[in-house]
Amino acid sequence: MKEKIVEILADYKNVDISEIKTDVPFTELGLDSLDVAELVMQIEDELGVTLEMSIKYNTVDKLADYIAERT
Amino acid sequence: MNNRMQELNTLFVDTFDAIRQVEEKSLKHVGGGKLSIAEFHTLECISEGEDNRRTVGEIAEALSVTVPTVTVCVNKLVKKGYAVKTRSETDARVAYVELTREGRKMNRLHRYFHEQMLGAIDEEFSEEEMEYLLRCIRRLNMFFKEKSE
Repeated sequence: MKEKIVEILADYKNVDISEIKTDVPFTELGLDSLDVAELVMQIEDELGVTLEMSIKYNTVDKLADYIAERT
Repeated sequence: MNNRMQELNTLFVDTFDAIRQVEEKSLKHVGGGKLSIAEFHTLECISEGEDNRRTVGEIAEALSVTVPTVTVCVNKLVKKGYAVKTRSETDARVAYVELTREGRKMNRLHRYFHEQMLGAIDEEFSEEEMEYLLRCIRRLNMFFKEKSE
């Protein structure tokens, strides 16, 4: 799951996956709330799940844990 | 009006205005200035309908505004690409309004804004204060709702 999010995020930011730190807040990765909304929607489209965008899931690690709970 | 009542009166008006201003500023930022607060609230209302859709009449009732007001707002949302009009599968006379992908994204950002705002308020108050604040606001809310009926 984490790998999939990193892949989507790297693709969205147009950077190499090695540049994505999974324990760093999205804001520190240069993502604003609009980017996070787009990321969450792309994950929904790819995984066929419905997710809530929340300040609680502000890193790749936390988002992956949340998605794992939902699937 | 004594001093306490005067302060309370000022606080009500100021707090209400301040919340509106923070929301307006924040939503203007996330929406790139393309959506008004009323349009954000209409998107929210549509998303809360059964099957994530609502008729214009249902939106008007839920938002306590007139049908022509909603019609104008919905037409703007459709033109901007945040909503679409669809027909009922069982009754072609019934028209629904649904959110597009961009509309769903904006609605998400609106909810996210409220979560952030409440998170910031939560940090300002202790657990006990929050509990008390909640009780007071509940009573105020009930009071004003009864007055408006």
